[in-house]
Amino acid sequence: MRSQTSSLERSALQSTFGSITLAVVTLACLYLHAHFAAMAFAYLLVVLLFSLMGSFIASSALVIVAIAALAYYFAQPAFSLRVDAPQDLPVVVAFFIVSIVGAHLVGKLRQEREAARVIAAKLQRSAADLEDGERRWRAIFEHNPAMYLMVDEAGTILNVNTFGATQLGYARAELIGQSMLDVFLEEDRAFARECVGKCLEHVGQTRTWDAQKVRKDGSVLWVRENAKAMLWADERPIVLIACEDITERRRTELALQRSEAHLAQAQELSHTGSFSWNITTGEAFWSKETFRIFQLDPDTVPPGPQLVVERTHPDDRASVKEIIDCAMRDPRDFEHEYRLLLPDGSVKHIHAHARATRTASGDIEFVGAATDITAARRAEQQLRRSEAYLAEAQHLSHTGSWSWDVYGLDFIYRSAEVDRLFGFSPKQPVSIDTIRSRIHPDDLPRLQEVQRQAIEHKEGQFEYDFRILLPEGGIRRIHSVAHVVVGSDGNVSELIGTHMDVTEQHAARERLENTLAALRESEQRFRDYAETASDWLWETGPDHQVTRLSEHTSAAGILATGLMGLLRWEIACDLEEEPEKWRQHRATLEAHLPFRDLVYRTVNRTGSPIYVRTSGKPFFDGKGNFLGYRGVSTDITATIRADQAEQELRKAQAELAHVTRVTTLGELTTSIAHEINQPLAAIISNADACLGWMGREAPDLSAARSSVEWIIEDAIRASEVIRRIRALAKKGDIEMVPLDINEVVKEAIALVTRELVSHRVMLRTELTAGLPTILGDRIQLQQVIINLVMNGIEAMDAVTDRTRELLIQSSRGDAGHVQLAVTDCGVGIAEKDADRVLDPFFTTKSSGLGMGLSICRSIVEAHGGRLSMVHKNEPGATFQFALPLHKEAVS
Amino acid sequence: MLTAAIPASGGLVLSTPLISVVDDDASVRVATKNLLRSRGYTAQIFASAEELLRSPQLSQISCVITDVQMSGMSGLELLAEMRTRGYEAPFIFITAFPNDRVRASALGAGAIGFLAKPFAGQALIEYLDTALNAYEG
Repeated sequence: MRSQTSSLERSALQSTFGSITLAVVTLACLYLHAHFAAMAFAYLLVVLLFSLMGSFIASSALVIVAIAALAYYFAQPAFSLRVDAPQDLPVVVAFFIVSIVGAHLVGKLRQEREAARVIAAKLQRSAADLEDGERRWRAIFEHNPAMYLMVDEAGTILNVNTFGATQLGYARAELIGQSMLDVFLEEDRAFARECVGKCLEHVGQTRTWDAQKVRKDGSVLWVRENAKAMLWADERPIVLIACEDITERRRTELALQRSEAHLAQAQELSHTGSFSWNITTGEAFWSKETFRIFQLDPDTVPPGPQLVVERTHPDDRASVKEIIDCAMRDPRDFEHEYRLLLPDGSVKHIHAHARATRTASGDIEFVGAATDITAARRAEQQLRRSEAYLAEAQHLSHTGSWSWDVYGLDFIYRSAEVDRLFGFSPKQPVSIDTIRSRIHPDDLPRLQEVQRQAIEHKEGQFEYDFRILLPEGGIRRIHSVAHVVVGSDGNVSELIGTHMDVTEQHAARERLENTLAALRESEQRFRDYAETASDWLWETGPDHQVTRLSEHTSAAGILATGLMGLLRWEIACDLEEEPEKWRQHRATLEAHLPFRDLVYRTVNRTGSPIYVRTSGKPFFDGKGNFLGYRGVSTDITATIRADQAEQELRKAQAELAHVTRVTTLGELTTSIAHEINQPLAAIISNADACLGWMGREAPDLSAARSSVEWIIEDAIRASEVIRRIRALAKKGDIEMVPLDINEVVKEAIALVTRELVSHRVMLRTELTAGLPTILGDRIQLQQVIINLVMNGIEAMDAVTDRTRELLIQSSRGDAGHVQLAVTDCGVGIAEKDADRVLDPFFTTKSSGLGMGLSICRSIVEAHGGRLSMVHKNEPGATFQFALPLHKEAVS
Repeated sequence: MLTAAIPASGGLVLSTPLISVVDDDASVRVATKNLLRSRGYTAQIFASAEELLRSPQLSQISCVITDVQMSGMSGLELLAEMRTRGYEAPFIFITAFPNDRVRASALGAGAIGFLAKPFAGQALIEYLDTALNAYEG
């Protein structure tokens, strides 16, 4: 501003003094009548002179004035601004140009001289300032507590401040000129070179790096270097480096980093994530591990309680919400467990524990840890399961395990099964004494001795048995296997073992022993049976040839020699006599069926004929292949002979019975004739009547028909009588069939009715209905009854003073018998005859052989019954017989 | 003779002679009655001598045909009893136990006939006719 003002002042002064000077010159020239050209020259000097003073404009104005004055005063015509003289015009123009150019050049020169002066003044000032500044900067450079280095392109240290050199333990002079890399730690040198290189590439950009440097004394310090490359005066780049000792910070940082890493590692390893939650601001922080546990991405999801709820298993969501709500209402420490349902469907168990704290700003903040306890849970479940399996296995195998503290004299461990073996209920408190009290007193000392010896000799394994007296009575047998555990002091410190319930095995062994004994006895018994029931044992092979013969000692010497390898039908002598028997036998053998009581004839060792009865059954190997027959044989020659005799006797008896029957029939002839004549008479009468009815003038066909019908009835009646007689007279084989004794009685009575009538005997029957059947021969039993009835009739022949009554009673006898009694009221049997009355050939009658009752007795006895005479006080006699019931009827 | 008897019975029922048949064998009894009826006689049958004796028509009996052997009173005893009671009806005996002794005692007691079972119908009718003729004549 001031310069402008002074410039204006100067221009004004220039114009004023210029104009005055021009006027003076003009006046002088006018006065002198100076030449136009001289005039022009004078004006030019004035203008140039004053152009030294002011501005170009003022100079220009003076030029204009000078030209005007020139033209006005000095050019022809004078006092006119017009210039007519052509010779004047170039002067004016030349004046104008020279003056303008001159003014301009002089002004310029003046300005430059002024500027130079100003600059010189400034320069003088600047030099002072610079010196001052340098001094100051140098002080700063030297004393700033930072290391400053200046290096050139090659890394040579151009300068370093004293602080920096001191920090590194050097004098400045020692460092300047050296390579900056020398002070870096060996391994950081490449890095430092690279960093400096980058700075040089991008001049003007600041770079920062941390590196380690080495002091002169060899100690290391961490530095942070801020570097920047700049171009030096000679256009050569240099690098300025400010260096800060960050060793302490670095150490703290490292410690912090390490501690953070440790924490993160610890969280990861322990599956524990940490979290915080400010309930006032709603701010939440989750550690990386927390995000990992929740399988969430920390970069995309803001943490918070709502995330927990979202991730929580639906079953646990309500309880988790409740905990969070509760924490918001009443901020107190909380701890809970819940499950997460993760997107992949897996489930995690989480244990969370939070503490309510107060922040610096006074807010409530929960800080806590969430631990993934899935593995623990799983392990716990597995452990629990495997414990359950073990317990179950112990329970099933009745095996308990235990560990005994040798010094403490108590169990260190005892499985539940041990207590159960000792008869304790699962919840019952059990002391050593109660356990000891349940060991059988006879076994306790031995048990203690075994354990004592095991401890003394440090036996690897030892076993013992003992009995437990159960509280409810009974004994449990235990087999124990144990081994010693030798402690660090070389002494046995512990016994580990198992108790196994071997009661069942013990019982089974006893049973087995008993069974074996029984088997041996049974074997002996069966040998006895076989030896008793047979004379020798035999075995034949698959081809039925004899492979083995074993004669019992009692029967030794019967068998012929040389029977081995023979077939049975080669041994037998009755092949031709009984071909059918042998055909059947061979068929049985081919079919591999058992056979019983085959009787055949052969010869014994001495060549005499013998009868052999043999039975056998096939035997097979495990696969069912037929191996042959095994069986027993007996010499039944004596039995056969006896049978033959008995058969002959029986035949004789039957014949005798038949003879007697026929004799009886002879005696009955009259009665029988009557029985047949009656219907015959009726038939003839009815036939005649029929003819009569037909022969009438008006034949009465209805009556004729009735007559014929009666004829038929009577003919049937007659034939029935004949049938009965024929049956009785028949000489047939004995046929044992189930019979109703009452029916037999009725049939017998039918044959003797007329006899009763003709002897005026009244027959009374008391037949019990519904008697069980007996097994017998109808004809023979009828014979017995008829015989007894006839005897009764005969015994009453002499009776004239009372009714001749014959009573036939059937009843159920004692001990499964049916009883039949025939009672007459005749003369009775004299006591002296009573014992002989049933004997053969005994008779009191004038006629007859005396065989009747004897035959009756034979018949009854052949039926397994007994005939007897019963004494009564009344006159007459009672004969009765009892017959056993038919077995099928009994059963 | 057969034809002569029929008008007698057919025409005059009330005057037809009453024949009593006594036999303990039912079929013989019924057959005999049948035979007599076919020849036009009127016959009563009794199962025993005692039954006949209890008959209210004892006096009207024209002839008695009886078995000899019966349980209870025999034919011969019946004859004796009838005579004792004053009934003179003729007796014809039929028996299944023919023997000379019985035959002799029967005929001796005044029987018109003695027939062994089985007998021909004609023989009975002839005895009956004889008996009736003798009794009525």
